[in-house]
Amino acid sequence: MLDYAIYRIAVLVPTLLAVSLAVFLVLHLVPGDPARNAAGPDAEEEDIALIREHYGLDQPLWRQYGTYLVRVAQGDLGESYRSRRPVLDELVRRLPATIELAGFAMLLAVIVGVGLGVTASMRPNSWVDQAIGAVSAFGISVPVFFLGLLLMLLFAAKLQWLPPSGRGGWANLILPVTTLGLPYIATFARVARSTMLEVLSEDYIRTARAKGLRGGAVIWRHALINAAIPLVTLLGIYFGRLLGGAVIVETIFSWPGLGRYMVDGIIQRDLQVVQGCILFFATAIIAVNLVVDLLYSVLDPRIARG
Amino acid sequence: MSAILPFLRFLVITRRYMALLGVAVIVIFAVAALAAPLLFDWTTATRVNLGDALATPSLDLPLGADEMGRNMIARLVWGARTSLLVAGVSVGAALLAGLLIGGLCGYYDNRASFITMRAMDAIISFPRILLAIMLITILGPGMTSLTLAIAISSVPVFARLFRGPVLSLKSRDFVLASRSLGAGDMRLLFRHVLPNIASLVIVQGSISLAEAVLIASGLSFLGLGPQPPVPEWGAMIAQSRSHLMSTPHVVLAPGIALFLLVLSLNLVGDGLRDFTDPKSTRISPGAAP
Repeated sequence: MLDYAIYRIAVLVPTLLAVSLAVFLVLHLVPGDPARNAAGPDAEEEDIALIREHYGLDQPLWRQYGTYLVRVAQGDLGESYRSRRPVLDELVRRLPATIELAGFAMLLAVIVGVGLGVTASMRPNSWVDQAIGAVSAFGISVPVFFLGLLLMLLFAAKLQWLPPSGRGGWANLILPVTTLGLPYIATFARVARSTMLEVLSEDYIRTARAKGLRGGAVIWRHALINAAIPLVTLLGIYFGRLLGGAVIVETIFSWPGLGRYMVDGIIQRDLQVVQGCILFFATAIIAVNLVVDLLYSVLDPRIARG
Repeated sequence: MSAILPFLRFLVITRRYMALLGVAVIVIFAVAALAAPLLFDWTTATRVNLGDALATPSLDLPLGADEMGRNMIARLVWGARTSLLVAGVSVGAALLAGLLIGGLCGYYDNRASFITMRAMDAIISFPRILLAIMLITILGPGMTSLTLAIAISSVPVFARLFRGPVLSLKSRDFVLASRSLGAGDMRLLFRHVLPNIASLVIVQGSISLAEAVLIASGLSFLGLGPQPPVPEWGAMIAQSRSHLMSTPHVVLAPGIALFLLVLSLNLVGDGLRDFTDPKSTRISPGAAP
């Protein structure tokens, strides 16, 4: 177990280097002169030259990457071309909003999704199962931005129960979290149902039933623990996807998080911001996947040995 | 083509009426997309006519007009063309690339294929929408970069899916028999191994189409897809969203079209999987972006 953890953490270094190289190259693959992009459309030649020198854009590419790595290692992600504010400060300022949104959406997806999936698996092909199946087909097929607008139309405009946008109290959380979470509720429900159906046909479940355990104990104590393993792997993958979805949801609900910051950066062609955001997202996803994999090897010791 | 009738019969016998409906919806959208230039010419779909701005549905304008007075039904039909073109081309290209990478990596199980598959794992753990955003930042927004971005981010899904079956098929008796008759690697791979994963290709292809339509519309909603005046459902919703409260039809029409297409592709994908592998209880995790 310890060996496995050390191996996984050692692999982190080359992974992060590869990610930083990819993100660094993004800035340099963008057509046009980065100094000119930074200066804006109607800048003087002298200003462009000044910017080129200031950001070291006249150096060879490998040296620029070297300085970039050193800067990033010191926590300097550059500054926005527009606002002149350091990108890292802005990321740190906006991080709590995104964590709040993504965290509650994930929590909602796991609790409701797994609950629905397990319920559906207890009586396969019953009307309950079919109703849950229909809800999850809806959930994986509705585009998040359309769902968000519909919920806003219904609960904020027509019924006026909830605030339409912005961040604030609990009421502000309900619509964005539901919008972001629904597709993942559906996904977790589908996966939980199918893994539970597989687990429930195993011999040890029959044994547990044969020794007289009640249905509930069999389902929750014996079956779900074993079905949890594939679900935990999914957590890692879907955390990343959830962050991707947050980009759209934050745009709809004017949520002051990282996703909106990145979209604004793309639209304004503020490449330092885009670069910083992508590097930040990538690092977060790698970290979460590491934690999930380690958790996974605790749940299923065969992984670490194999 | 010859497998369509048995599939439809299977859907009737197993009472999958929703999937049957999905087949019908896909056919309608595909026909509309192909016949778009015959149904409405390009100017009808893009001409600005402020006199009709936000018109409600009428005989002349069956779905009303958007905030620029453009004919909604014409834009919807041309939007189907955009969505299906982007999704079709990107999934087709990704499928071929994935088949090649997955097939070769499964067939030649060596160090190079190990490294390639680890690279695929790395790409897959990164959210597709962010990967697409990164590529579009490089290439600039537009239909081509949207298609390319979706294609590239789909390749690892196919490569991983196809490698396993190829790995197990290549040591099966019928392949070994063919090899002993003198067949070369390429002939074995393309004539004997790949035809045996055709059903996987069809099932994953359908689910991937649903995913591609969703991601393409999401990116277009953010303004990273085809630029105006090209009609695209996600972009239409983004442009009209400020009129959602007063004249909801300008947002509801493209939204419902998008939802119906994605739902149909998912339902048909589920139906196809049960059709090709009746024992399977597995359900795809779904197409959430």
